[in-house]
Amino acid sequence: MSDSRHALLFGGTGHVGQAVLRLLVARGVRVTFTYRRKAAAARELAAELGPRAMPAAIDLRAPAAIRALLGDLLAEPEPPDLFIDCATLGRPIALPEVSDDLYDEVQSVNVRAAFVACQTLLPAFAARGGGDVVLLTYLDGARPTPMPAHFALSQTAIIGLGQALAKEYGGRGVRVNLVQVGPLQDGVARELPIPLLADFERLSAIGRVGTADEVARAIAFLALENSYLTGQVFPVQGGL
Amino acid sequence: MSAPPDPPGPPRLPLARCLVTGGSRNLGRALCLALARAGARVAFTYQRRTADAEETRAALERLGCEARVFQGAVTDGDHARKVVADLVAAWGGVDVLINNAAIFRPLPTVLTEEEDWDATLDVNVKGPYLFSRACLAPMLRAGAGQILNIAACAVDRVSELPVAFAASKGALIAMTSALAREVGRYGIRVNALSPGLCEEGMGARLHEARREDYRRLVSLGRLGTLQEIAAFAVWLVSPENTFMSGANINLDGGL
Repeated sequence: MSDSRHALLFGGTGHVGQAVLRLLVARGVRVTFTYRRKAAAARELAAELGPRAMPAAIDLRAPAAIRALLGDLLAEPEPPDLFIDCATLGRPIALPEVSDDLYDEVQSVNVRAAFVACQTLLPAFAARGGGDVVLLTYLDGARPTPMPAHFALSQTAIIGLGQALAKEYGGRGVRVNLVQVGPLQDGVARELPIPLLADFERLSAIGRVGTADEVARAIAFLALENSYLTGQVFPVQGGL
Repeated sequence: MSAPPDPPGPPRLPLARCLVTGGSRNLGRALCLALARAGARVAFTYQRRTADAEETRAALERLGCEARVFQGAVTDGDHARKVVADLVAAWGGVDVLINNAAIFRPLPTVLTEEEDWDATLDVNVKGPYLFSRACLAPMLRAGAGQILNIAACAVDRVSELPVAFAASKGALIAMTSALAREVGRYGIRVNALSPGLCEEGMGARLHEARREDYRRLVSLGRLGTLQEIAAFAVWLVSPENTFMSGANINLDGGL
């Protein structure tokens, strides 16, 4: 089943993105994965994982670049039927220090890139009978955690995007879900203050931070095996 | 796209020791069979429908599954203890408990007798409490375990539910969250799964107009199947799902 699938993965060289890439390729999926700055990491992943892992250099802040990439992919004989967005920018910065440029950059990568991709991909998925979208959202969109405002709003915006798209395209065979991620051992969580991580470990049900592999397994399940879940936030966050 | 794709690779729950309450028919049977297909050993309880239970047992055995079947009420604490003691003696422990047994009395509040209220809360809330309590002893000893509570509140956003039933499922979801926090530190995960309306089971008993209403309102435009709910449940209790606890998943086609 997975052998015939082609995924577009945003943020394939990131902490979670790499784990997703490895798992999907191991399950026989062809994956076009994007990167911006980590060209060496992208080359190494492609070399390690073989022809099923196809890197694409792209600046997700630029809608025209995203549309150009999608145009190329949709012209292929086996275009993507799966879109996974693991590209997330975020650092804990206090409200007064968030510049307009930083605000725009975070929203463009965390929200607009997925919007632009879905705008092109979902009609194409629907035209061929369906597909799956899995978007990542960090726990910062949830109330119990302290969070940088500009980042939190990008995370709740992506939830709104996913839920709206699930409604608009559900009748045409496209499922859209969100995986809500708690603090992990690395990646975006590396920037979190130690006391915050200690609070999380004390207050969450599972009592520890997570790993990228744990998130990747949930994403792969929703992407490849789910048939009836859509428009949902799937909480892979340790039980906060 | 209604049938869930086959899971990749090796069996998801090889020889896992699983207990399902209310396993004789409908979702309970589908859960038992999905667990068996994932390589698990399956025990289930039922209360009255012996012929259905035997059918489930036969279906499990056809899959090559080691099945154990227990007759009794989930509201009976002694029954819960005896079932779990039997499994500990036979299998050495319990890895997975799925609290599935539930009753549904379609009554408006003014016609709901206290007996209806008590029976609904007893089966749907006290039952999961008794079976969770019984299973926690071996799970705590093992430092591992998965409890999955089948709730059914997903439907309440588009459909009227009997108040006692809705209250019982709300309580079960609250219990899920509280128990997850209590036992998470011992390696035990507790989650809830809220299926939407399915073609079979409770969904089949509803008037076609209500079913059509559901199709119109739900994103995917169709009712679910017991097989896809059961396949999802198997992943939730599998060793692949390690960083989720206290969650309630609305598997409803997108309400």
